[in-house]
Amino acid sequence: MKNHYSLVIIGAGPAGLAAAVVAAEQGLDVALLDEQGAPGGQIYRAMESIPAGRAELLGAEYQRGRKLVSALRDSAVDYFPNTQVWSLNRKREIGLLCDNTPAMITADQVLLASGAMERPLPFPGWTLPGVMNAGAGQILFKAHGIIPADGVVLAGSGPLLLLLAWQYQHAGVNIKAVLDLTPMRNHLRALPHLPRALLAGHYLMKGMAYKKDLKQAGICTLHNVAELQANGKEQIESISFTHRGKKQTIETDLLLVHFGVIPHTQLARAAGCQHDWDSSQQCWSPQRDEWGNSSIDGIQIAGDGAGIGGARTAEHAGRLAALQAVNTLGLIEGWERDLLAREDRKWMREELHIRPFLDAFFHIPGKLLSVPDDGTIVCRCEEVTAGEIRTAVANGHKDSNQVKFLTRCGMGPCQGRQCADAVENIVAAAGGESIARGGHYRGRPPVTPLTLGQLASLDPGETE
Amino acid sequence: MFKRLDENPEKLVTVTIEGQPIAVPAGETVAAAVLISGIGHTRTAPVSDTPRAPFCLMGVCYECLMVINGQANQRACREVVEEGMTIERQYGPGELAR
Amino acid sequence: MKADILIVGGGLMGFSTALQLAKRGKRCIVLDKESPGRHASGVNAGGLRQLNRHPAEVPLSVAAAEMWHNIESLLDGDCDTHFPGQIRIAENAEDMQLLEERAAMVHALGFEHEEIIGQQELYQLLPALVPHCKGGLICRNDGYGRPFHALDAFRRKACSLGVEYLSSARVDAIERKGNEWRASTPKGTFRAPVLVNCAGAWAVSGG
Repeated sequence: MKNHYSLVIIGAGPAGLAAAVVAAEQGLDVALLDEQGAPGGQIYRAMESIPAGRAELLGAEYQRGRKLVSALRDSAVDYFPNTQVWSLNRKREIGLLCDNTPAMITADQVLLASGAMERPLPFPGWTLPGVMNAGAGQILFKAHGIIPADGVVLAGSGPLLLLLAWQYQHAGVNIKAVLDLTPMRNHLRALPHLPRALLAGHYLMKGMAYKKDLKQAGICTLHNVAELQANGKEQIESISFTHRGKKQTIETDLLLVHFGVIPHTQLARAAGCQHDWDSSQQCWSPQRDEWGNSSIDGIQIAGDGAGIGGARTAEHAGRLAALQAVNTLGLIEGWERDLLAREDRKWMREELHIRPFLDAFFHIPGKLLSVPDDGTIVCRCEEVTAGEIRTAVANGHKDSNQVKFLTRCGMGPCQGRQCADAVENIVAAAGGESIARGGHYRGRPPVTPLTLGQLASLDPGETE
Repeated sequence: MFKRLDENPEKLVTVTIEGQPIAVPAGETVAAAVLISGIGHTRTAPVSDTPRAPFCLMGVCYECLMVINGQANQRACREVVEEGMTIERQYGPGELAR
Repeated sequence: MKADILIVGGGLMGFSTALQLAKRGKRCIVLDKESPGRHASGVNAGGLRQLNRHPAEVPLSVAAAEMWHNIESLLDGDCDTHFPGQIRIAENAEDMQLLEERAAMVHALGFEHEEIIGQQELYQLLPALVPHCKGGLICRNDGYGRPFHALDAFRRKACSLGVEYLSSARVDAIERKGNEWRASTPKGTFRAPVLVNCAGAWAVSGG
């Protein structure tokens, strides 16, 4: 690895892969850093190692990643897998661990393409062993060919739930039930966005095709489900919920939940990038323009880490960001950038037609987000409950940082990744500051663990 | 809870999970191997000693912290199995390696 | 808005001052530019120390220690205080000499809280210490508390006695008009005959 690159891209998912290839094609010296051992991010995880039979079970969208990954391998990009970035600052100094060896490098431009994570939504029993994210189920399937053995319940609200159900059904998994917690009123909510969504009709067609397959296979799908809870002592034994006014219980040793995806902003925040609250996507996203320029000169953000747009949008956004970087660094003029960007800009606009509809249809109700049950753990790491957070607000701690100071929520190993969303919602609902005004946990490096030994072994010359 | 698709993996490695030797396909993450092994919980939460297991499998929840080759606080979802690796539950906050 | 006393700064100095004044029947308003305990008072190491203070500070720190040891009677919470003692360590004979001189000085001031200990007791108390140390100066009733929780307890007790406080109320300007101080903030102008500057690191810029 060199000490300095013109462009360093962090994240080898669709945005990072597409950006790296374009930037290298245009003559920049590019480093692509990724924490995993192989390219693809989460959505195209295991692209290079997956057996053909398993890949087929995942569906056509997954195959799109193949082109991106092979383009990387054919390019002049310096690709560094097994590399974690623990710090980034305004001067574009990057602290990293490459195969657990620490280093500091610098860049003229940095592109953050760290993607998204599933929205962590606390509900009673969610910390029991055997309760996992739908994405976790997908990772086991994609990367390792591991599927549920004794049946599974899928619950939540969002496109990934449907996709996973379809993939599992094709793999012969016993799906005990799909519990859709999307409230009925979201149909009305989404209706005004339907005309525009039809412009990206392939998404809707796909969704309907999945639903049809599931129905034909006789999978039990319940809609408008509420009051989900996981029951069990040492691990999950059953789930309960209400449907059409009646309480029901299903025995299961595995529950996979999904409540949408939100940008993973840990590194962008630690670097000091400004973020705004997006009330339609119900998440924080970094300030940026069409070319991915963030609030800090020299730092760009693209892909789902900049705002949820999906894998295809991320590809286009990555290429736009790369062209911008090439322009910023003086290799091409603005008009050349615009010319080269035409197709991607067009396709990105097309892809985004579906978003307002999806955001409205899968809008998570405020009541669910603000964790009504006092006994539910919100901060998994420090074991702080919703009730304790509400008590803190009642005692004058009016935003998430004050609540963090008092209760330690957000101070555990995950550094608030799993609790920030819920804490902000609880605080706002309990009479504290609104999310937009109250803000998010203040974040500082390191954003991923490193030992004192690793830090101390950094070559002092590199830290000047 | 979980099982493998019938795929005939090319290469296997042997690891020990909670003292038991287990053959695992090369390239698998420790978390995946542990979930298949059926040991149930992979750690206990430090405040209340309640059992916990992997949640996100992508490195953002830190629930899968285990003691791997004697080193505590390793995210099992990010470690790939290696021949002879020892994998143990982490009880509470984990101890410094000596 | 008018009060008997305006206090600039919602850290421990500000709320402790407000609490003592409220106990004596004064109407106080605390103005903070952010939220209570947002800076030093919320994130310090929590030390409750009399050991090794400047001679001018010694009487004050001993009086404070008395309060911290009985904090439940002042506040409605115990601030999670613990008093295992604090030790200043002598690594060699010269250090030991300095410590002995210090102990004598404190004793001459009329205070007993700092005491010389020899090697044996040092290693009984600190078995993990590097092996070459000679002895130490101990204050046995020093300790620590939880800073943000302590601040919170001071704030809540003060408020229960009628102290008002405003967050996000940075004092932009202070002026004296006749017998009054006037402090202007984004949340209005506050007036009182007495103003106490407890603004910590911002005490100078605050005017």
